[in-house]
Amino acid sequence: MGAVSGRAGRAGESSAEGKLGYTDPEGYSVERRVEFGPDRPTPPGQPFRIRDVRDVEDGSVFVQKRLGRLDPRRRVGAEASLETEIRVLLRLVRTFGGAGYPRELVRVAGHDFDGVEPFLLLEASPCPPAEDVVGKLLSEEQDAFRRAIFRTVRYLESAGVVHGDLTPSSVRWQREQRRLQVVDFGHAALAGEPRSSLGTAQWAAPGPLRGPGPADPHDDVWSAAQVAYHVTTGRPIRQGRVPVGVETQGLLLDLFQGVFEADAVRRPGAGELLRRLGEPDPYVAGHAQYDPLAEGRRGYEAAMERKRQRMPLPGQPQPAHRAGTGDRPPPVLPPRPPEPPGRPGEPPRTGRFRLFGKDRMG
Amino acid sequence: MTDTAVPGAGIPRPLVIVVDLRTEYDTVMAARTFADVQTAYARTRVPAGTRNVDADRVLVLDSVDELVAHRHAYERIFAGMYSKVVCVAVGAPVDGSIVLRRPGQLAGSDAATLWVGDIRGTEWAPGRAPGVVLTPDDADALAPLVDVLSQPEVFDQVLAGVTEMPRSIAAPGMNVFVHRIRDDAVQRARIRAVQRLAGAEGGVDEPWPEPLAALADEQGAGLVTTTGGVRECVRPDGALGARWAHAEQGFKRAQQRLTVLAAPVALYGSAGRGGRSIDGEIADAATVLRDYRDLVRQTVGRGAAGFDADGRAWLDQVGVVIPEPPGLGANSVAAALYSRTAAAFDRPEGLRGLAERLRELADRITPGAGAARAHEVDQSCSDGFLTRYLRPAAFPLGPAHVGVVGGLVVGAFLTALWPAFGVVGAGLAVLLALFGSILITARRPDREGRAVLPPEALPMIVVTGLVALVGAICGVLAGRAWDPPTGVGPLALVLGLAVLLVLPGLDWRLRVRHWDRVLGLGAATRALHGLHALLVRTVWNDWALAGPRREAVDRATVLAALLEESATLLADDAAALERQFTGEPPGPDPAAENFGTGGNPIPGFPPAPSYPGGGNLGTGGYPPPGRPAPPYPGTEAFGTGGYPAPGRPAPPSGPPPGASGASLYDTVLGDLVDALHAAFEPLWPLLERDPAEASRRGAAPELRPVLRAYADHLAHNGVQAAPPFGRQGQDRPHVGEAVGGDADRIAELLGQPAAHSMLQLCASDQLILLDHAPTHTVSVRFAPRGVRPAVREALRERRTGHPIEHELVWTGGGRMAGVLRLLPLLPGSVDDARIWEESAGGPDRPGAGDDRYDGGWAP
Repeated sequence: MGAVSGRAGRAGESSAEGKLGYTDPEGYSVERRVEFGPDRPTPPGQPFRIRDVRDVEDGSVFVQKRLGRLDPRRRVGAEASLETEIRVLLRLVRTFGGAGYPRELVRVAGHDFDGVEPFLLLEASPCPPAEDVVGKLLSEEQDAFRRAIFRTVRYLESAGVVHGDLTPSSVRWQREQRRLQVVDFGHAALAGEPRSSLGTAQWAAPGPLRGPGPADPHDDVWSAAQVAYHVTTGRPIRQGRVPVGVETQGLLLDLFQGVFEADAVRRPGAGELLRRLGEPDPYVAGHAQYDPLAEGRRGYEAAMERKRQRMPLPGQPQPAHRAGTGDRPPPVLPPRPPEPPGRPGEPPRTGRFRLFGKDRMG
Repeated sequence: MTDTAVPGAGIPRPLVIVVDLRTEYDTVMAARTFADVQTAYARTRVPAGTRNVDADRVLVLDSVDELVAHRHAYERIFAGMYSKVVCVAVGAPVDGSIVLRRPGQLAGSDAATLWVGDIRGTEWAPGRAPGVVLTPDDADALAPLVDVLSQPEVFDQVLAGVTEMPRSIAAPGMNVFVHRIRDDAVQRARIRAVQRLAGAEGGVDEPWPEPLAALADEQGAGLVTTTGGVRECVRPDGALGARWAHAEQGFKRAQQRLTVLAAPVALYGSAGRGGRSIDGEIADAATVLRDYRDLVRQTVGRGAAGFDADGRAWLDQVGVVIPEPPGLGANSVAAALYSRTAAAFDRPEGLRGLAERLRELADRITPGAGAARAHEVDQSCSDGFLTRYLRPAAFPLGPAHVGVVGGLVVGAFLTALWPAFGVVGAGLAVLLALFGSILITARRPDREGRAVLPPEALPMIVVTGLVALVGAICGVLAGRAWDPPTGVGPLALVLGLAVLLVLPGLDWRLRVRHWDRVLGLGAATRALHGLHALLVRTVWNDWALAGPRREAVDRATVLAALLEESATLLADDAAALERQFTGEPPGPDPAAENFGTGGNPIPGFPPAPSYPGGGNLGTGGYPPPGRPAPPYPGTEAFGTGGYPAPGRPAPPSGPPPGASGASLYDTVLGDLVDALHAAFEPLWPLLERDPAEASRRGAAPELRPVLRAYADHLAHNGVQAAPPFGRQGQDRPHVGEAVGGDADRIAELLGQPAAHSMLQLCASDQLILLDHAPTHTVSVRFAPRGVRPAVREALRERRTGHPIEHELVWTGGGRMAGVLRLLPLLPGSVDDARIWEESAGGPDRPGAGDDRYDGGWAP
């Protein structure tokens, strides 16, 4: 797996087509025919190269984050970082499932860690960075933003994941839809495990600024509060300290009570902040409040699809053959015999129908 | 001497409409009428607010090869009433000796044609062979010619002169002098002005206009007086209203009873003693006050996130009515923001400072948090405060006032003074004193349910008795020792008894008053009213006005963001200018050569050095460093500046009559303020109607084009002319201010005869097509009106006299002075005897022009 055929585009070059093979979150091997975009500009010293990848068949756009050419010493560290990121994102998928996956979190589409060029494939975010709207949001938008960001932190907390780098760049906000999404889990870690690296220092909590230590979800609360304050009020923040002018923000005083405590243990959790906002907790009593029937629904849909493939209705096209799955094409069944004639307007007469009075199969 | 009236009130502003058919033919044809083209041009050329423009002068630029093809455009142009047209036809002769073929309209009496055979020109004097001048290939003398012809006064003279010539066609030559303020000085002034405007300085601490001030100061209820809304928001029969009334009545009754009890006779009578004890009344009122406080705290805290069904039911239960908000519309808020911001622009205040003040205003207007209100409730009526009333202080039974003690001593003394009654009097005095204090104790207002003589009263009683005893003993001893005269003794006895009988009443009054002070019922009442006011304030400002407040907050926030964005754009603009000054190397200055001077350098004037900084005598306007100066043959050495593309000449600078001009910095700052006004003009209605859309759109789409237009305007027209978005009334640097020593230069230029060497706008091999006869030549000598005094003086000194002066044209604007020489063409060089028609495959039809023209030279 991980085969990438076709020439990949380099920075500045136009896109090139090829095939991309990877492992999806369910563990299946997938191969897509894709168009590779050019590498995005990255700061010097950045070990990863990032580019857009577009599925030629269905037009889906993904973001591929792959390891660049590095010397062995740097490569080891970069590989560890990528592996952690993959692990964190898979944890999110396994926590929330497919149908119930929060749209506030970027979704992993696949990964290949064992190939020559390890990479991570993410669904492209439809939202621009929140830094584009700093100080511009109206009152209702500000409310929506604050609810969304703390709801997102609550999702992370419930999954046992610490993002570690919540900034106005990694937090995305779509104004028209009032949709928030968090991207860039490059500094993420599982709660309780040692932090892999320090995110953007300006937005980091005092704990990570002091040095290595276990990843604490309360640090995300700090960063989220800083981002929420800066984006909604347009005021600057101060690294490791209470933001400027927060004492003049009547509404935010209540919300941020205790949030900017230097000691993470003394900070309220995301659930408490949601309560202060009057927002329902999406994760109650240890259970994520996503659709509990999602798995069942998926199974039902899959069974119905298999049934349709075995018994297509007249006029329905044959189902497409999925490359690489190894499935044989479904058999073509003879058409159903005509219904026995009945009086006009009457349902077809069968014993079953007459008995139960129904005019079609349930 | 030709002069024109300065446009003033009621006089239309003259304007030459410039149309370049080489690039704008489609635009002219697409317009509904040519008047639309004229109007659109005028809008971009005259200062904002100009109402009346005289636009019947049209300068057309066209190609020699396309004159006939563009005949439909000329039909449109001439279809307008009273149009006067000068057509500058550019290009080599179409056919040997035939210079051009043109549509018949250009042969009319209101049209003149100038032929420019080669825009690089040839230095030449009639009657002499042309010199060999190494003119750069990219030299362009057309733009300065267009600039000159765009002055209405020059236009009229040229039209008049050329229409007198055969076939109304001439070949121009010129020598001009350009004066403009140095570009680098202008750009430095611009950088300073931007830094001033984009910063945080210049703010003033003035109150915000209504209704913003009322919203910010939580005086929303005060707005009701102007809008006729409902003031009451607490129902008297609701839980809150009932408690409030109960507590208020309780404290009031207690206070009234205390007032009655304070009378001395109250010690003996029943006044103020009916019903419950006073302390019981107070405690009861305090209990209700506590309940009221708790209810208020609950209510104000509930409304923080708005009211759902439960919340509304709660409000109904407690008797709170959220009134209809006063008629605060978005337009009143937007109007207030506009007036404040417009005043700030004009002041001018730094944009970032203004934005910060707007954000502070938004913070003050933002509805308060429920917890903050609850905190206010606790602060105004804390548990510690209430304890004072829940357990009121006891009636004071301590030592009497010092006056009362003194009175006791005196009374006992006098009672025992009469020796005949001494001991009895002493005993009576002590008994009376004891009786008084016992009476006070027994009649105290808070005695209900307690002992008549509580233990704490015994010291008072004992002390009173002892004091009276001491006084009595002293009286007895004094009486025996003194032996008062007859009558004094009985008098002293009566006096003493009177004092002893009155004293208890006085003591009572003093104690009641002291008790009143200790109880402090006034503070309780104030706390009660304070809670009520807080509730009303919350209902009005946080709930009833929540919507208008949010709308005001949104608009203030969006406006702040727009101002910050504008400051950033201005700062980026200034940074780009600074980079030009510091980063890019200066280019060569081809304008260092002296052109149009007969090939001789002007004595005393060295060639212009390369820029930056190359401005001889302050005359030169140099293009920004890094761009080579467009060589401007036909001008003096310095000060070519950047010339606009053909067809975009300088608008008239129109200095106000008598204006002494303004500093460069003030002028540029004023222009930038005007730019802000122009950029924000379309944003105000959007801010009022849809602040979200205004926020999404931002200020960049409006401000960037205006800044770009200003940069183009400065590069092409200089700072003396007002930009298109300029508002009227601003003083501008006047071209006449810095003439100085240039007056001699200008006078010398104006004094040159037509036979002097000038830059003829054709190639050297095309000179043969011109009529060299000096008598057929027309010269137009022109200079800006602003330099008239200095130049006339210089002319007088040179004794060039009247023959020159009467040919002078003083222009109302522009920055060039010089001579325009118009030579007629030789006969047969113009073919407009035929109208060339386009026909499908057919030969050209000999036109209908034969009967209109003589087909040749008219002597």
